Amino acid sequence: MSASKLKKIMNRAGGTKKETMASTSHSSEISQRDHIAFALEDVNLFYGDFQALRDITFDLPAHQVTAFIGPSGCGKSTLLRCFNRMNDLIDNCRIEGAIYRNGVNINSDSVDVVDLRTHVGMVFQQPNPFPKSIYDNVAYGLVCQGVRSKKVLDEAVASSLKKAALWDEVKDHLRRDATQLSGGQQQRLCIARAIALQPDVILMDEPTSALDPIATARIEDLITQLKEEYTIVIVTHSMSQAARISDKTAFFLLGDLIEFGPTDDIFQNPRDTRTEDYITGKFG
Amino acid sequence: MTRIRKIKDTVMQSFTWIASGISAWVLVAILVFIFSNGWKLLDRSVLFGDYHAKNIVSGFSDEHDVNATFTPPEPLEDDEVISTRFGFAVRDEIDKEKNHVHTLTWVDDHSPLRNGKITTAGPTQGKPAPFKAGMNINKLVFIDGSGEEITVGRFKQQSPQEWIPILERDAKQITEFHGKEPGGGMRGSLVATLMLIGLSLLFSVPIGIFAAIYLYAIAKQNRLTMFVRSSIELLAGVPSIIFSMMGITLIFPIIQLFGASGQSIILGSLTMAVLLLPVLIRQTEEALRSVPSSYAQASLALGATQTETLFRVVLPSARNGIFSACLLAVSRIIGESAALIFTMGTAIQDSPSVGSGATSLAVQIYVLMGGENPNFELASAISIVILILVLALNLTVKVVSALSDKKGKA
Amino acid sequence: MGNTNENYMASEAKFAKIRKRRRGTDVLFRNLFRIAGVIAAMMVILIIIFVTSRGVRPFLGSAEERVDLKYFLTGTRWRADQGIYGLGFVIINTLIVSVTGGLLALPLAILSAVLITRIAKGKLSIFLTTIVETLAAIPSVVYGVFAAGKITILVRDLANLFGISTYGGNSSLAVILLLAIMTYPTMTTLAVSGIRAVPKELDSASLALGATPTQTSFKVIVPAARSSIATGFTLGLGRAFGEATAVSMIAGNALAGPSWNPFDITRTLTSTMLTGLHETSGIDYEIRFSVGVVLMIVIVSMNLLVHAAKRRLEKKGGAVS
Repeated sequence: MSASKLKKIMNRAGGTKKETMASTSHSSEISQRDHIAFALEDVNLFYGDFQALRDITFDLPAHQVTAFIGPSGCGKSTLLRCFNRMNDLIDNCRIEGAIYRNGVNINSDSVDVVDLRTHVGMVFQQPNPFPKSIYDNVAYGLVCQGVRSKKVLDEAVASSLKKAALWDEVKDHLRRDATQLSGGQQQRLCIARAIALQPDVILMDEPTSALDPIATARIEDLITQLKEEYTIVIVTHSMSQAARISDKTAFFLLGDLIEFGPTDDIFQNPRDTRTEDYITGKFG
Repeated sequence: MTRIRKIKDTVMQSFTWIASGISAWVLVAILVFIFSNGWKLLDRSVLFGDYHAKNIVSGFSDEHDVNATFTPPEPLEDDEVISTRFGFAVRDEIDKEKNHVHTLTWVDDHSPLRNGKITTAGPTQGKPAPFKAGMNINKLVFIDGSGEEITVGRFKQQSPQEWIPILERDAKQITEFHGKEPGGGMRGSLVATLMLIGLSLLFSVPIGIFAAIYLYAIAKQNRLTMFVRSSIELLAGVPSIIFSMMGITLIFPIIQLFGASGQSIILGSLTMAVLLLPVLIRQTEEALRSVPSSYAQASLALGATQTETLFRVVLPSARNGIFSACLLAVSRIIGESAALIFTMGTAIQDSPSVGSGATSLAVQIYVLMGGENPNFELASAISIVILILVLALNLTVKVVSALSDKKGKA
Repeated sequence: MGNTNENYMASEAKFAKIRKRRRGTDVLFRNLFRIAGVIAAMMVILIIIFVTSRGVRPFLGSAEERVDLKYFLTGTRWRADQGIYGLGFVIINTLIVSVTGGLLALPLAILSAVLITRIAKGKLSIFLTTIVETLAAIPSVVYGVFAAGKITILVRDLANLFGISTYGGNSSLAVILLLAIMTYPTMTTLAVSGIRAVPKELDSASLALGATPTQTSFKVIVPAARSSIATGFTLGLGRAFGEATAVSMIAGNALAGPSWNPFDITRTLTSTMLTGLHETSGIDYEIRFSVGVVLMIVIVSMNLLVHAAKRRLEKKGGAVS
């Protein structure tokens, strides 16, 4: 067995020995297991001629926080956008390989992208609430889905804001314009907005890099709470953040997945020298 | 620096000042000319009055109060003659065609002249036809003490100083009075312009916005899209008189199928709609592009379709720019003349209707200036109205976009 | 699926139907947007086709009925009452008044642009720009009123000084002055944006070589902006060719031509199209469409000419942005 193939197998299912034994079964079948949110198989992504992702293969665990780390331009955000097919919006973007979710390859033409995005939510780096009221922001996704009942919407808005730890601050001001909230509040609002659709997975692209340390801490606490209900994937350039809040970490470099495993293992016992170099700050 | 160089420098600089000075002077000359010729004409009767003079014969079928005495509200001028019994004052004036007319300078609210009804046979018989200040009065028919009908007035070659005393002395009952509403108003064109604006926007705004959305969200970056853009830019460079011809050759046959015939407001509107497309599309696309793309991304990431994203998030955020685009379009409609002369016609209408021809304010100016005796005063008066509207609209657009810029930066 | 107890998405069937409707709406609107784009793109071509097909009609038909095309294009007399339609001199007239007017406006526009962008300070600059914008906003009929009332009087008085009589001031000269005024704002606006787009480094380089700011403006900046200025000139010329209502009010409508004498009355393509519209019928009405076709050809030719001239200048003098 070649080194790269072995590495692929070890990266699947997070690299513990027991899981490695079971990992030779088909990705599609794997993705249907309860503890796996996505199973990726040989994902390659091209922007025109430039290859941004190379042979990515691993299993993303459910109900855990997985962090994607790596230097700028390594492809971590690109890969994140694959999970809800936001890369479709970019001209010239071509993807090969499969990403399985519940047994179905989300890249296939038969998949309804619009529907996928209600199951896989996203929070962006710059908080981007709509210039509408707080209530309308949180209810947006449901309203688009066709939910009209005020009772249902009210409940959903309240429940989502509570889960996003924003309810107490805004419950008396639901009609206020969302852009008047502070940066940290806006980001929690964006999280609430995504939660309102009851997704399985929440993708977060450097969610705290535009926020101050206090707001960052609150969101990190929130993420730790959320993982009980949702699968969280977070792209971060802060290794301390990854170390603090994630259960599994994936390290990317120039489009390759170098290493994937439990966060403690990656940070204390990295298998690859490049991982070690990055973590100790030799580059990036 | 040598002296020569300095002189050359100063001379060149002064040339720039002179050039701008000339343009400022021209602008002032234009405004002064228009305002000085038209300002004195701007009163309610011109703004909201008919253009065409109307002859009116008004009278009474029953008795009216003959014992009243009226006093004028203000002291009279020298040449105004007042009838205290019937509450009006008349002055001999010269009109535009150098004829004498007897103009009513004051008609009391309770004067019998206010209560007459039309006596000419026909569809308007019996309708109220009050005589007001500003109208001409040509003759009066009354019954005197002996029951005879007497006619007095300008038609009897009498001056006001002659016939009013006769009226005061002998009249027992006024039966009829003939006069003329002098016309010279712009209300018809004002109404036609409003209709034109409404219909033109009705057709051009949806197509313009949708085409802008097409360019913004749907068209790919390929040669076909470049071709579409070039076509729209070319359309912007077509002289408006050619649009006129397009109206006759392309649009008229189509609306003929729906029963229209000849020049009409609807034909003018459809022509204007095409003319407005480039402006609307350009401005709307700019407005769409100024909406931060993160809104659209967030909306799509929440599982909305592209159409929903456009209507729920992008368009609402772009509404200031789109509103500005519409204001610019309205401004263009008000000022447009060449495109409408062929399609809407040159017949000034007092009661325009959508299916027949009419003149917009601008076209009325064109008609007034044609012929042997151009009516500078009325043309200038209408120009004032147009200038005020157009400049107000342009100013509003500037204010709106300055406000949106501020909001965006906040 | 989410594993909370209250599951809003429970009624799958209902939401599946809504999802289908949403998808249908999305497709519908996307097609509507496409259709709108197609309509907008097609208009130019449709205009050319329809106006041209109407415009060639007078030249078709039997030998007695039809208008002589050769004379139409080269003739020097236009007598609608006698059925003589020679447009040749009209084309020349149009070129004379438009080009002269444009050439009159161009230096003024460039000078004004230099003042606005390089010499005047903040508030003054905005004030001057407002003047230009206001001139641009005035509709052509209003210019026509002004021209008929003031410009013609000016020309008439000027002619009297020389002992020349005029037709009330309606003349080539009046049209030239009018067109100069009307094209000035366009040229100035484009010159201003062209100058503003010149990189600051050119300015610095020139000043560092000991040139005065004024010298820099005229020797370096304005030449650097020549592409925008040329575009402004072309656009202005295009508008001058196509200006109809104001010109027809003061042209005078000469019956023969071309009018080389500035104090003579003249006739342009657009004034021919508009004059006497109330009392026309038959050939006199139809021929106007043909004049329209000629107008379009003139404008397109001019654009192509300028385009070709630009190309040749680029080849000779290096890159022009």
